[in-house]
Amino acid sequence: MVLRGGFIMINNKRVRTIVFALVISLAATFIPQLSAMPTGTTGSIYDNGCTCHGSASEEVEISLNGLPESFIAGEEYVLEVSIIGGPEEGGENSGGFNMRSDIGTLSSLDDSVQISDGEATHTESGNDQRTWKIQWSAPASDSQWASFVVMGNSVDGDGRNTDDSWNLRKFELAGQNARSGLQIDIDEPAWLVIVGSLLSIVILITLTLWRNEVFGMNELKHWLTTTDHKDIGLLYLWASIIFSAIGMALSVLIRLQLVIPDNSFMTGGLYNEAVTMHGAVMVLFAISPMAFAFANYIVPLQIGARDMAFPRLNALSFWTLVLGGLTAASGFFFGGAADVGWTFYSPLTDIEYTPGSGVSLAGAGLVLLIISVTGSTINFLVTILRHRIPGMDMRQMPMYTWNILFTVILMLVIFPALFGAVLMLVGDRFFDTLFFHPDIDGTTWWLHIFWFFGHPEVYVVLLPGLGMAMEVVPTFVRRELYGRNVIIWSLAVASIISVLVWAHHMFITGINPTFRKLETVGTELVSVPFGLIYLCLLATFYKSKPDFSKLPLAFVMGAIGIFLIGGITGVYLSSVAMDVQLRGTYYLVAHFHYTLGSVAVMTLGGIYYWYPKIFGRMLDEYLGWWHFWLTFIGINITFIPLFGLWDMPRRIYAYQESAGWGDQQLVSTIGSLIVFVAQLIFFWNFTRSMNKGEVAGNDPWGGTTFEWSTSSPPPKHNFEKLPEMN
Amino acid sequence: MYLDKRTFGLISGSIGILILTFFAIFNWGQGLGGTGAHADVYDDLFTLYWGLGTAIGIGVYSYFLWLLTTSTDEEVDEMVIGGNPTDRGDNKVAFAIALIITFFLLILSDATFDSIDFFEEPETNDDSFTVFVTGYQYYWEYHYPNGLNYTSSDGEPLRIPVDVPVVFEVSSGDVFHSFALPEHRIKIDALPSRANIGWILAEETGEYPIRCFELCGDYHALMIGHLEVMEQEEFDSWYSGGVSS
Repeated sequence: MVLRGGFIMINNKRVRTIVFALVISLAATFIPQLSAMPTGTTGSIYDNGCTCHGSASEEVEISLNGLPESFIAGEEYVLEVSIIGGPEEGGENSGGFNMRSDIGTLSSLDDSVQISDGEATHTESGNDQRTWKIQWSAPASDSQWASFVVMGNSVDGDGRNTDDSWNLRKFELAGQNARSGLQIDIDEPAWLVIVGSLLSIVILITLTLWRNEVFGMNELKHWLTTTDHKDIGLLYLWASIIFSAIGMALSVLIRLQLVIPDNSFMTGGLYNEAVTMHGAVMVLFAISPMAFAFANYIVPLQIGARDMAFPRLNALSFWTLVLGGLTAASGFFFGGAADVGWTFYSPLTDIEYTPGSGVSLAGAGLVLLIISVTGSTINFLVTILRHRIPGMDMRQMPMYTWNILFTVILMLVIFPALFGAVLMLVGDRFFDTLFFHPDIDGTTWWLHIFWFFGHPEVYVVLLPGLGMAMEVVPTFVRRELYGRNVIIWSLAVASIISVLVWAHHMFITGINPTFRKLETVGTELVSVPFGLIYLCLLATFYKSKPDFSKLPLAFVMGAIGIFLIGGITGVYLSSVAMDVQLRGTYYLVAHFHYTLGSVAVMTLGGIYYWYPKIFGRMLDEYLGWWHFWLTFIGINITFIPLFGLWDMPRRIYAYQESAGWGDQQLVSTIGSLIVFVAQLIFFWNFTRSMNKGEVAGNDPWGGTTFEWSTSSPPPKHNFEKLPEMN
Repeated sequence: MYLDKRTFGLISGSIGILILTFFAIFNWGQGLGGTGAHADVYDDLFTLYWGLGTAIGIGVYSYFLWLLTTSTDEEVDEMVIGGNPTDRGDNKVAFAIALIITFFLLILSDATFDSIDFFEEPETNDDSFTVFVTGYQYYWEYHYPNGLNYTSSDGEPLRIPVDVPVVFEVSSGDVFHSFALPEHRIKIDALPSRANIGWILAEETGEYPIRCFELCGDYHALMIGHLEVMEQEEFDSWYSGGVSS
């Protein structure tokens, strides 16, 4: 209804404008790709006496023999150009040719061929023949396509050019690692696993929803057009579960590839795709949307609002996010997903090195994500600042809402930087805009912009999880949060510091030594506010009445336990001298999985905490404890051995047995399988308890924020009677 | 004292993890195993960081255990829906803790700065020379001052003399690489736009792997070179004759 109303409001003039704009942008996208075929003859070689005149003719047939099926980097190939057709041979001259290749180098084998400006052409003596041999050396990278343009000229040899005729033909040659078009290499077992797991995830979730709800056209229409913050929160939850499952499946693939030395389960290219998409999907499309799921559902309830400030913007944000995630992941089916690492370091992202569509699709996905995030940010800011019930001032806001407030402020500051960076990258790839060209030190330039976004992004991921912990701990230990004001100020200070310390991701790239020392101190200072928050959270247990039999508290305590290890090992990395050795190693991988893993465990705690509110039923405790212990033990088994691999490069798809990294990788893989099994148990519990769980009631945990004052699940407008502050 | 089995398991588990991490980081008791002048400095710094880190970690977990021994059976705060949150705690304590953390960080920063100055400023002598290293997908090219020029693609190692400081000037011919000698604790980013400088003072002869530490394409994993540290005379004869013994 709303949707139709929306369209009716658009009058004809606006439709025309939109169509016009669409046509222009489509044209702008396609025109550069239809690069004109050269029809004339230009270039320095024609000054040397070649007479490629006459007229272009279909009669002249050009062939290029000796092309391999695919070329190998650095190899040399002997190619033979030959022309047939056109005027009869006779007289003193019979033909000429010109050949150029966009990559690699051409060189002459005998005196019939000369090289001029990188192009091969005949010499005076080569004028008497119609076949020529040329040597072509392939470039250093074979993950690209080579194209050869050959012009041949049939000469009748009467000394005049009028009856001569010539033709042009283009040849394309793939490197052995180049990819193109829609292709799935089913010879590779990993592909079956990827496709199989993606399909089974989708089928599983569809079946689950089908079984649990009466699902018909009306319901479908409802979920597609809903603007209710609780419904959108649920949609975010499901989307995030799907993306988490994809990210998780990819992580298992990575672990399976590394389980033994010299494994050939995946190729280097596919492994890089898995690594890249695991990072991008987990950070940008799984953990963040999970935070938005609860922020959408819980924040309006916590501050006593009827809905978000802009409900339709909220729906737009969600659907753009889904589209963005699917666009980025769709690369798998269009010649390979992005394979450059989720950090997209230039110049590997240049079209020259990654000619496939993966990086471009990931860029498009990121643009959609940023549009989504910007909409959500505005929405949350206005909701939190303007839609609290009368009587609740900023200081009385629940801690989860505070954390979301800092999260969205940070997002508003950092995502425009990523937006600019991605647009420049796409410009470079499609229009040769040269923003990140090495000649103007584009490599460093990308590092600066990306990490201005990338470092605070970690805090964007962390803060919602901390917010959940700050709700769960006071509820279950029956005391108010210790040092509430200190925590709020610490969050503010941490947010500010986080946007100032990006350069610790580029300590050994050659930036100014004094600047690096400042960044070292700055990064170390991050541990002051987070140290205070951590100690305050612990101090809440002082003279309290904790109930450790409750699952949300168990998860949060597990997260607190592993967060300390993530935090302390992070201090090592903040040191510019330590970073020399630890940069790009598995130690780093272990560190950030300890911090982000702890966020994931905190978030699981949040799910156990708010599940009764959202579905009106409790999660099963028996399965819940299995889930908890397997997750907690599994995460530690997965990542502890990796701390020992601080001389092993990350993102390598194979290692030699002699390197001695096999044991740790094996243990780590076992751990990751345990975590995977634990999440299956959780998923089973999650879907089963939607119908069969114990009925929860309004406030099963004795929580004190407003979401517990209304029914579970809350009615359409959240509260029968608006709650009041005491 | 209120401490049930699960809590005890969780906290002792966390302390166990810390101890396990300790062994993991020190390669399960085999020590750090570095060689060369950089490794001496680096391994000391690493041990300092790890010592302080473990001490603080165990301190925090013990503090938490102590906090749990104070639990009671009474509800101290009034926990009702819509209750006005009160601010517990003392700002002075917060400032004191902030100062203590900062103090520890300053100790670490000081040690860090000494080490990085050592890594960055080559202590050369009369025998020293500069090798220009260029990264390519997926090999290294070495360029010596006498014009000797070859790549790692055919298994040829980078040769340097023992006990002589050698300067590396590292850049890239295509994408972002990172030139690293893990056992000497040396890592220099190879950017296509700019040369970065590092140095080595090898103290033991032998062969060591050179690895790329930045994702540089499909065969990043295979971008492995070798460093051969030779006796001075051996190096001289190779260097002048171009023949390896």
